[in-house]
Amino acid sequence: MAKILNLPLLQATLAEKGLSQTALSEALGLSKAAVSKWFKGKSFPRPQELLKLGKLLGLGFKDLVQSGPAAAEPLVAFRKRAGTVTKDEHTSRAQDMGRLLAPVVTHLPFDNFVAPVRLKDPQLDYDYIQQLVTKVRLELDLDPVKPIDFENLIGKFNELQAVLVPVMWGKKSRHENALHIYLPDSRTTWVFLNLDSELHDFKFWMAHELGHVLSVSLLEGNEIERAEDFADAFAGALLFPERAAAESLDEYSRKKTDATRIQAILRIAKDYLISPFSVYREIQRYCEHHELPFATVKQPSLHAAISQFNKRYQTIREMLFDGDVPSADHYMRISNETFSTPVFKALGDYVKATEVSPSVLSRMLDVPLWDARELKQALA
Amino acid sequence: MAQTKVLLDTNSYLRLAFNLHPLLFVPFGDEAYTLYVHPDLRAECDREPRLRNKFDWVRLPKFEENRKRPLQLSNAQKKAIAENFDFMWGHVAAEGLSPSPVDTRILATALELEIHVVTDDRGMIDLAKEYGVPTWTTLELMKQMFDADHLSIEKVRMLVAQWIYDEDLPARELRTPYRDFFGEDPPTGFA
Repeated sequence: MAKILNLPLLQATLAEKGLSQTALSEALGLSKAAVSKWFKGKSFPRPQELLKLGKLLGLGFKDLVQSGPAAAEPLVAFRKRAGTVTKDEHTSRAQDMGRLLAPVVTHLPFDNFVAPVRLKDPQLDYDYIQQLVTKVRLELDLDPVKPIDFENLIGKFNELQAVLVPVMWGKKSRHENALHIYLPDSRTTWVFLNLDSELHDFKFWMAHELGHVLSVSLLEGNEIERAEDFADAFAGALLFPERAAAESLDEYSRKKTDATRIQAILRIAKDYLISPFSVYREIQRYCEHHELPFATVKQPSLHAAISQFNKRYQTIREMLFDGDVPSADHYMRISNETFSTPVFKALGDYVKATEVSPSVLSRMLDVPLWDARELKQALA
Repeated sequence: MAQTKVLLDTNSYLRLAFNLHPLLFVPFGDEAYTLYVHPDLRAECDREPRLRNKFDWVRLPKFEENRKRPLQLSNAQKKAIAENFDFMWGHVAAEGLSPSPVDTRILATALELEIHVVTDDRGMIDLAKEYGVPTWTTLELMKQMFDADHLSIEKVRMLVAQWIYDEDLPARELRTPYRDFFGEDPPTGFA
């Protein structure tokens, strides 16, 4: 990256401290000519000299250095855990992952000539979303109202040249359950999915991430909240479209108590293999859009019932690995079989072509160093 | 005699700690070299693995205990290290270099304390050179220990055999330095 000194600030700080260029060169143990070249923009201090300069003048790296045009920063979106707040450190970490993934792109098996399909102008309007999910279901050769399965979602990710990265980030320790990284320079999308997730939630997050892939223009326009709202609305509608909501409303409306309404929601969710909350929310949205009465249920009761409902199912990781701690080989093989992802093949080619260290792999996938070391050996 | 501290990076620690226990806080040689790990490495060791792996021993109490003793730093040193890190990480990020934040913090600490860092990582060695931080490879550290009678040739062979078994050689070409350092051919399987 091209770097230039922030000369106005540098000169102002020298004046403030009463230092001449000569005094500065003496303090830094450098020739006057070398320092003079900095001020004329003819050279840039070596890393060690820049550090000494910063310490001498009490300025930080970002004060002293202005970066020239650089590669576009990775765009990131999180599927946050409930109750978490996205901080700068989360964004920095995800962008760091994106920067490290950039050289892996050349090893992906994607078409080098044709860019993947993206939505022209993603809208949050109910009718727009419903028309979009009808179109997506048609493209997937799916009945407009039947339950959608994981294979359908995975197929769509691959069609859109989005790289699925199944990871095991634990159940409670993280800020996010899914992470979307878009690299503008290569127009590649990386979707990290936490396998330590409840079955039904996982399906929703996959659909949510698919919404991000289609609406990447919102991320490019820095409309982060709108991008999240769109992805949520898209996911709910794709998994439980308008006609399903309309058909379910009939049963739901006949129930007279919270308990019986919740029972109905749980039954429908079980049939569709989606989160009961998606069922409830999509029926509610349908009613709001068509100005129909909707009997809400007490949220604590609903959440308690959903929590009990989830306990009846294993996490995705438990299902895939029979509750065992998998070896790196086993983890990659099952991930490849289940998600048809090119990620491990691409990483393997990258590892073989470079001397990438386990610590770089650890940062790239945000996994413990121990896992990265095992992965590196298995990939090589 | 005052210690001469030496900081180990994570991979060097893993290559030595299992077979050389206690690895840390044991002075050796005329310079009383004493090995330390950075607090960030201790945090890394606390991360639970999700895959079956060869490093379960890291979380055994005796190794945890050995890593516990902190690197004593004054407030002035902490401030200087933070300034070093700011510039070093700025440089790493701007140039798209491979060292991680933990690697960079280890070097920022060594720069302030004017001590050696033990690393086999090419990117870390290059970054250390840029800032004048002296480095040893794991094999060079073992040579220092061997010369100080702190490490026997049998232990050297054992350590190297372990790397071969773990498929964890610290560099592609090790035969020549091994022969130069220890005056014998390395165990079979060495590069």
